[in-house]
Amino acid sequence: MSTHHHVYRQCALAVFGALLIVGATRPARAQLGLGLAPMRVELRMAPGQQYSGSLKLSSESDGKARVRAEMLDFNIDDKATPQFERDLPQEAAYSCKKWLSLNPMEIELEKGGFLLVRYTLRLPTDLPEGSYNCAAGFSTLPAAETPAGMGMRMAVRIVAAFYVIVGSPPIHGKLKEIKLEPLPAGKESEPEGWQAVVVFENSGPMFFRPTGKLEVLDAEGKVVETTDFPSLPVLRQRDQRFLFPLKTHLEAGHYKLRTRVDIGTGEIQEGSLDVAVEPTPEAPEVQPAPVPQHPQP
Amino acid sequence: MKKKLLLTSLGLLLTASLAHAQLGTTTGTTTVSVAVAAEAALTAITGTSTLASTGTNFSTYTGTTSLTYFIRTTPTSGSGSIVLKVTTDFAPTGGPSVGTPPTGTDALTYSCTVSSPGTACTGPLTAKTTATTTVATFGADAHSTFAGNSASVSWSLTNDPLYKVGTYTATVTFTISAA
Repeated sequence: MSTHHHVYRQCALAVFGALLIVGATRPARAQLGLGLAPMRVELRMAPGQQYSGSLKLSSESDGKARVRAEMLDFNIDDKATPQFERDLPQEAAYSCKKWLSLNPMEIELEKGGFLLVRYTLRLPTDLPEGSYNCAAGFSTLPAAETPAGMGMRMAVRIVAAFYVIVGSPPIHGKLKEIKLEPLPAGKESEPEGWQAVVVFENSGPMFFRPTGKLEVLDAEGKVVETTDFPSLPVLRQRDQRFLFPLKTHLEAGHYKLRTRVDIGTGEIQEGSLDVAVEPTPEAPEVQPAPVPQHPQP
Repeated sequence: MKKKLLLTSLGLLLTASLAHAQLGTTTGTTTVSVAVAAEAALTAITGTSTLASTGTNFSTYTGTTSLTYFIRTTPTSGSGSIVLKVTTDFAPTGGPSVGTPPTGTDALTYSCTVSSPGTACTGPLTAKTTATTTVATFGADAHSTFAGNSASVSWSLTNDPLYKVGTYTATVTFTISAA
């Protein structure tokens, strides 16, 4: 009887030890997540004015989460990807980051918990008319555990974008260029396809969001693909590329890219580009004809 | 007797009046309004992703990161995106590096799988330490399911013989926004 007990105890200890080892070597698969509302804030303010509001930050993590807040610059790069950074020197003149404050900056959220984060914008008194943009970012700390072997730790950031409009700045912009570019090569170094690129120029003090469509027409003038413009801002004083990866496989032949857009001025700007796709998979021959633009009231 | 009848009548009248008042309250209406805002959430289902080389000698390290996103964008001007950036390069030194790889052609690339209403990146894309790169985009009037929608990133890291033997870890930050 005592021998049996001894064996059972040894077995139990072995199982317990094995469990301990498994627990120690197998990392906890912690889930990290954040939610935010609103995601975008547009405010019309006067120079010298102060405004406060709140953002609802919630946890989607499966445990207690530590979150850090930060004020950010942002822009949209030439791949139409938003870049949120602590400091983008080229944006300094049009950024509202220096007037934005958040409270609290260090946050601890329980599982399923939420917190109202107060934001305040204090504008300088000598601010010229125009639109200014910045962002509030909230980041989880990276997962505490390390991956088994080579790997990566994850962190999640959620960002609210702020647009501050001072005065009544006019929109000065135009459809500048349309072109067709090969998509980045795939694993076999073959072009993955084509993307239409539409470039807008914003020469004014106010951002705008173009609305409209891009169409691809075949040689007979039949529309083979239509895509709406994504709601991306063209921030002030820059050119902005809009990318349209084409779903249609362009066989060799002639095509026309046509776009009709409203940049918020109430007039439609139209442009088109004739392209000839050669039978070879190399870059398409683009007709040298200038882009016709016909603003329509 | 007369006084008693009068009081009873008065009592009945009062009761009727009260009953009427109660009926009026129950059929009253009120206005309830709710402001439904654009909002979003993003979850990395696992806090870490392991990269493993499972094929022939020096075959590429591969791994996957699974995400869940929640999104509601405004009908006309709404938009959103999920992007990623390598916020801390592989450490310790001597192994793979996104910013300063031992061989110029070494890269950490990824492809995206995103369920509707999101649109997946056109990959493979190269992850960077200097800029964010796209994982998914959302258009106007996009609505995820109540339980969220799935997305994933499939990683590929060059297996360069120049890497020193060791265990290397980087940090990747996923950002969801609605610029």
